[in-house]
Amino acid sequence: METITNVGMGFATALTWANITYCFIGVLVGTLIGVLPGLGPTATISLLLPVTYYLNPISAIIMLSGVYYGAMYGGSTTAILVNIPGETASIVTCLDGYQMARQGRAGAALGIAAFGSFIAGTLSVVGLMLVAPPLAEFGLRFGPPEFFALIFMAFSLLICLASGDMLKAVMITVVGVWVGTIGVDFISGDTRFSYGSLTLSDGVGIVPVAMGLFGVAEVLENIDKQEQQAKILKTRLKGLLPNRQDWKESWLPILRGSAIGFFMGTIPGGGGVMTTFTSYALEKKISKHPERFGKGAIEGVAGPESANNASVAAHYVPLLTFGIPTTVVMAIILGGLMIHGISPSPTFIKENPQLFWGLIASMYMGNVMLLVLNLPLIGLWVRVLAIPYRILFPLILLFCIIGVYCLNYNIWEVVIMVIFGFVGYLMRRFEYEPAPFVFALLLGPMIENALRQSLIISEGSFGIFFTRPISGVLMIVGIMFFIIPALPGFKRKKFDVAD
Amino acid sequence: MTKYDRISTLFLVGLAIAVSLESIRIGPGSLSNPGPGLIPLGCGLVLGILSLIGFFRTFVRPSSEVLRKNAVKLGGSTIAALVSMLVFAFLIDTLGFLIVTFLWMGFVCRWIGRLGWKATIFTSVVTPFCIWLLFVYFLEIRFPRGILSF
Repeated sequence: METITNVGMGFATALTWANITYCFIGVLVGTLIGVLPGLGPTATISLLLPVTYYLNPISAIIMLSGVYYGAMYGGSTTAILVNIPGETASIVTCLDGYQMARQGRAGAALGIAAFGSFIAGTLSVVGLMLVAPPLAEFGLRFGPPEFFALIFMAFSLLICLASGDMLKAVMITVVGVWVGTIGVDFISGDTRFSYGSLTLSDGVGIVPVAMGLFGVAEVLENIDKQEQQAKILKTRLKGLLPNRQDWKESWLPILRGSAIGFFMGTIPGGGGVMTTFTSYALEKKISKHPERFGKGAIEGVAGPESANNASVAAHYVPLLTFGIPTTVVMAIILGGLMIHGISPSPTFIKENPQLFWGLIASMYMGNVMLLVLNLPLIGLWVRVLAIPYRILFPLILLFCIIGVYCLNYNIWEVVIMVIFGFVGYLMRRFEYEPAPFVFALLLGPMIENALRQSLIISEGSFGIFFTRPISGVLMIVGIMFFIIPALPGFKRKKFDVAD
Repeated sequence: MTKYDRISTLFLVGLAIAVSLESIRIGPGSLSNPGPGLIPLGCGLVLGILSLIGFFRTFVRPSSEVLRKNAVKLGGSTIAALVSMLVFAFLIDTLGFLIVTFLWMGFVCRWIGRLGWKATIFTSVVTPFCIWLLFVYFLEIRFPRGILSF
C-alpha cells in the first residue's frame, strides 16, 4: 500500500510540465547521442551537466537519466543499420542486427530492439522500485567499517571485471584515490598537495576530470579518424512492428535479457558490454539452432538490447541506496547530485522521497516516450548519421569548455580538464582504463573517511573490518575478487565477438 | 611497445616516490590516530610496489597487440586542439565569450577540422550566437563580456 502511495507521489512529481519537458529533452538528446558513433553517454552526460546546474535537483536527475536510457535505446539504430555501435553496449547488436538489415529485415530488428528495450526498461524500473527501499533500510545498519568494506568490495569487483590488464587497473585506481585526497582534509583541516592553489585546495572536481577523460580525450582520439564516414545500409525501413513469429522467438529472450540486465546492472562494473554479451552468449547457448546466430537471429537482437536497457535502472539501486556508483555514467550523475547538495546514502530515500519516486515515475514516462519517439523517427536518426565528425567535434569541445567554466567561472578548472583530456588520450594509448580512475576519484574521499573513522574506533586495529559480520563478509568477498584472477588455471575470459 | 609500458611504469614509480615523500611531510599520524598523510602515503607505497612489478614484468612479458598498433604519435591536430582550448580559457575573461568563441571556432573548424572558408565562417558566427542565446537568455548563465558590452 505504501509503495502505491509513493508511486502516486512520484507520478505527481514527474507529471508536471517542467519535468515532462526535461524528461523529453533528455530522452531526445540521449537517443540522438546514442545514434551518433563516437560520442557515448558518458561524454554527453558530462556535457549536459552545466545545463542542470540551474535546474532543481529533481528535474536535473530526470533529464540526465533520460539521456542515459535514451542513449542505450539509440545505440541499436547505428548497430543495425550501419554495423557501427552507437555506444559500446550495442557492439553485440551488430552481429545479428546488421545481418537482419542485409536480409531486408531492418524494420523487424529495429522494432524488436525498441519493444524489447521498452519492456526490459519497464520491468527494470519495477525491480528498482521493489528492491531499493528494503536495501536502503538494510543500509541503515552500516557504520564506517561496513562502508569501508562495501567500497573495498566495489573497487575489487571493478578491478576484477576491468576489460584490460588487471595490474594497470589497480595502479590507476590507486592514482585515482590519491588524486581524490588533493585539497583540504575534512578531519584535520590541513591542505594536501595543493601548493597554495585555491583551485586545488577545493579538490580536483569530478566534472573537469570526467569531461577531460571522456569528452576531450574521445575527441582527440577521433580527430585522426575524422575522414571515416559511416556507410549507411540502403534498405527500406518497412514493417517496424514485429510479426507473430518474431514475437514468438523474442519474448523469452526479452524476459531473460531483462533479468540478466537487472542483476548485472546492480554489480559495480557489471553493466554495458558485459551485460549484452552475457545475454547473447546465453541465448546462443540455449538455442535449438545456435548456427543461426551471427546470421540474422532475432533472439540475438532482442536479448542483448533488453539486457542493455534493463541494466540502466538497475544501476540506480546501489547509487541511491549506498551512494556507490556502478558505472562511470552513474559516477557523473552522482557528481551532478552532489553539485545540488544531495549525497545518496541509506537515508536518501527517506529524506528525498519526492526525488526518488519522481525519478522512478519519470523512468516509466521516459520508456513510453522512447517507444513513441524511436519508431517513427528512425528515418531521422539515420540522416543524423550523415553529419560529418569535423563539424561535430568543435561543438563537443566547446561544450566541454563551457561546461567546466560555468561550474565555478574558474579558468583553472578548464586547465585541469585539458590536462586530463591529454592524460585520458595517453591512457587510451597506453591501455590504462579511465573508468577505475574516475570511480576512485569519487569514492576515494569516502573510503578515506570510512577507514580513518574505523581506525579511530578500533584504536588502530584492522580487525574491526573482519570481526563485524557485515563488513567481514564484504571484506572476504572483496579479497576473493582479488585472489581468484591470480589463481593458477584461472583465465580471465575476454568476450570474443567471433565466438 | 614494451618501451612504452616501461615509460609509463617508470613515470608511476616517480609519482609514487613524490607522493610518499610529500605524505610523510604532511604527517601520516599513527594507526590509532590517522593523520591527513596516511592514505596518500598508503597510495604512494602501493603504487610504488605495483609499478615496480609492472616495470619488471615488461622484461618477461611482451605488451599486447593493441598497444603495438597504437604507437604513441602525437599528431599536430591533437596538440593544436589542446593548446587552443588553453588559449580559449585564458582569453575568455579579457576578450569576452562571443569574440573568443568566434575566433576559437574559426581556428578549430578551419585548421583542425579542415572545413572550407564558407562553412568555417558560418559555423564560427552561428555557434557562439546560438550558445549565447541558450545559456545567457534561456538558462540565465553569466558569460564574461570582455571588451564587448553585452
